[in-house]
Amino acid sequence: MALENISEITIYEVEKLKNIFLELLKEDKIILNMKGITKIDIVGIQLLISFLKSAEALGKDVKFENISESVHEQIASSSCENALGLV
Amino acid sequence: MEEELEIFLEDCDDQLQFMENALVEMQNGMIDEEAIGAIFRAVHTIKGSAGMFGFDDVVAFAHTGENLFDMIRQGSVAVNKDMIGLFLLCRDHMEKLIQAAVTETELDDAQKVVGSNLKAQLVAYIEGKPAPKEEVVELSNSVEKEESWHISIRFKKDFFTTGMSINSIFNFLNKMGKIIKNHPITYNIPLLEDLNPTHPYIGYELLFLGDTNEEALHEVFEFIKDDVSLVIFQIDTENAYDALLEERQEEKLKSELIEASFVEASYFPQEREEITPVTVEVIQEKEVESKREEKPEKQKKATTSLRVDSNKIDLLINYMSEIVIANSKILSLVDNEKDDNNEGSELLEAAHSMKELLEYVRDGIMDIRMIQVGDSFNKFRRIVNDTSKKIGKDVEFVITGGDTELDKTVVERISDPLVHMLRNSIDHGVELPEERVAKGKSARGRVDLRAYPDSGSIVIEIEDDGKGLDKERILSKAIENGQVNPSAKLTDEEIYKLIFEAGLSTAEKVSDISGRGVGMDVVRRNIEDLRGTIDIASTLGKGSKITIRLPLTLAIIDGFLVQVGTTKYIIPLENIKECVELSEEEEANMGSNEFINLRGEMLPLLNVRKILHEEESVSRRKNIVIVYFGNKYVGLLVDELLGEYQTVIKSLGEVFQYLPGISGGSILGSGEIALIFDIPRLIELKSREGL
Amino acid sequence: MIDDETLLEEFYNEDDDDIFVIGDAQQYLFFKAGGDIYAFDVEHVNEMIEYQPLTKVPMMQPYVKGVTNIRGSIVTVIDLLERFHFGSATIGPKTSLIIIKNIALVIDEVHDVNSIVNDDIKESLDFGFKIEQRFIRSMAKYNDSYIAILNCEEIFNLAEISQLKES
Repeated sequence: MALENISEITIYEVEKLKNIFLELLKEDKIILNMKGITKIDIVGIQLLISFLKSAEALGKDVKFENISESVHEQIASSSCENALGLV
Repeated sequence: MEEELEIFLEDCDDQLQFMENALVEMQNGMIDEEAIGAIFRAVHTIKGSAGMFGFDDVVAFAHTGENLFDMIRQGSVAVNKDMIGLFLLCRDHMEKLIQAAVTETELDDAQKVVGSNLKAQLVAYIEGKPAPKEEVVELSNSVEKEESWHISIRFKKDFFTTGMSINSIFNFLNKMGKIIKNHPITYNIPLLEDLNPTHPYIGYELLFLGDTNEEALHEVFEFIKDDVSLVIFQIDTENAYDALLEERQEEKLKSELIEASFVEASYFPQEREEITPVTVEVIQEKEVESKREEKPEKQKKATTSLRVDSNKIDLLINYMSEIVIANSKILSLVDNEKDDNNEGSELLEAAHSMKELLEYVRDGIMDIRMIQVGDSFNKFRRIVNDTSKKIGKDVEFVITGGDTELDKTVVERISDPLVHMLRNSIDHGVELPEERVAKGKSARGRVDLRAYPDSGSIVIEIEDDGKGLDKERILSKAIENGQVNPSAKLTDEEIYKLIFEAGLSTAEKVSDISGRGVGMDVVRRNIEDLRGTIDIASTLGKGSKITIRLPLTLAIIDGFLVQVGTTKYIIPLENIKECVELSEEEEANMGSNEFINLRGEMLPLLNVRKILHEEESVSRRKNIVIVYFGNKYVGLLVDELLGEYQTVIKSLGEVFQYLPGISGGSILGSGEIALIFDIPRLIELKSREGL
Repeated sequence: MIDDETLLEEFYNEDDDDIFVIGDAQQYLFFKAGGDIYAFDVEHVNEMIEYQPLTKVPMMQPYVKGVTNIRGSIVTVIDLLERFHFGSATIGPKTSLIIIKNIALVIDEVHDVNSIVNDDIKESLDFGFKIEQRFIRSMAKYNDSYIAILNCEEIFNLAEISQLKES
């Protein structure tokens, strides 16, 4: 699933994304296409971690795809690559 | 200036630019969430970073703006045109506040009045009380020896909505010292269904090495002290980690600390029974660790760009040319060695491949200086907007080729001339909407700014679809000024180029935007100083196009090396027409005249030896290098022609700032310095002397 | 840009015994030019090197001799004696360049780096000395005679030395 019409995972979008993610948890196989995402902040990172935890609790695997360099950089500067399984 | 402050300033510049771009777009009618969001974030970021430096005035002002924008964003206040104008003024005031804060100066009284006025207007829109000024304490710089500190951070409920970025705190700490370990605490983050996404659950445990004290570390967080919970201690404090566990009351913290190797498992000996589950966890996490080690390159990839002080690059270029010189010495030594006994060839080979590699490195370093022109071009949007608004014109401004790369210095120095020409295009080129409609054109005019590379140089074009240049008027004005002989027959191109001569403004009425007749000649001079050329084409009624051609970089020049007496000179190849030998016969004919007859034409001569007071050289031969600029030709009388030479231009230094005709120096392979002729200036000098 | 430490350090090491600092003493570089001894505050001195060939630059004041290459930097060369209007330096094996503010001064010989206690330093006013008053910062007692401590700001007065020669 691609995150359509969303270009950033930040405080401005997390409410909306939380609902999208809750829907996603109903799927068996979850692949997040991060192609259009150009920005992420600590709030967004926290949301992603929560999402990963929830999926794990349900025994589901989550994969991130096409993470842009800049998003990766932003995650790295928050030291959260490990927590998001990006290393 | 301190490095942190410089970075702060650069960041603010970027943010102010974002703001300006978005506001200008809004002014053009593109009021959307994206633009509003962009402005909000920019204000927000400035507020945050200014807060870290304790710049209260900036913070307080930004805070008010931010409040209003937050309301706009949520739809409780509607944006109107007046507001956008106000925001542009606020943006300018914010820039002044930042400047004042950084330079530790006070705004003058007028600026202060402007500031409180703007603020009052913002508050009026907010229709409530302005937010109270936040207390900020300046950072102290006490000097102590480097110590290891543990910093434990948890965030309070509203932290995220303060807009402070934790990354800026990390960055700041990394400037004070170094964060050796940065471990996010994620176990408090609940499952999605229980998550309030705007509440903070995440925390951090840091190991920090720095030459500081506890007070100073607390001060780093001063700006957000009400929204975080901190535990800071020196790691060798006795039982410090026990105290941390006590303070945090988080059952998983101990195992996290051990797993992330802040402490050894044996640090907490008193509760052995709990160790068993901990070790299991440690093993699992260890696997994660080893995975991490397998892919170190991925992590590296994340860092794609960094800011470097351009002085550092210049220093590198200096060292680089030294290395090239040293290497050429090695090459010649090796060459001699080889003559004596044929054994030097391997050494020779090594020295040659060294030379080649050094050239790659040099090119690489030069490349670092290249920046995209887009950022600089975008700054013109507002100028175009303001200018056209002011005089009632409607102009669409189109930028193409923003990703074209050019030497940083060239980009900086081309900026003012471009602004001047853009203003000219709008003021004199593009007609008023009603005029345009009457002529059957669209009411909205168009000005294009393009950049593209073309055969080793960069071309910048400014094109408008306005009324074009009036040949007759330019010519009659030039004749009136005595700049052109009435009987002279000029081509169209020559006539258009007259607008770059001093004192030739054909604008009927002088406006405060352009038209004072100073300007276009300065523009031409600026561009020639950059070793560029400028041309203009125009069709009456259809528009004009100015084409500027610039060298890719200022630093490197293709030249021709000549010698006069004991001094070596470099003449830029682009100014050389040909080289001829001065025969004794011609020399005799010449007598004391400073002319020679070259294929029937009188060519003025410049005796380099004479201006230098050089003693007689060893060589008896004399050569003439015929150089030109525009349509003027001069022969330079020199002794020896030493061949083509690609070289790095260096400044001779401030002492020589008024020296005409020499643009700089270049260090030759032998280590000696050659002077670089500035041919345009030299020709100008010579023609002023009356040839 | 210029490595100021190394050469001075070498210099110190050679004359280690001569270095003594008591109370309010300042370090000075003593050198000879035209037979006289002068001094600069070492704080101002970036480096000292042997004289090296230079490239003449036309149209400048006679004391602006040209430019020379010091480790890849182009450095202006000024003849101190000519700056004082005392003729010009005779280039010999001991001729040196003292580098201050990216300008190299041609002098006859580096003499010593030593300290002078502040008590031995006098305002320059009352001394009828042969160089122009404005070039002298103060006078100091050195080896029982008074020598001039030079005023860098004035010697390297940019507005003055960057003037072109009248043609």
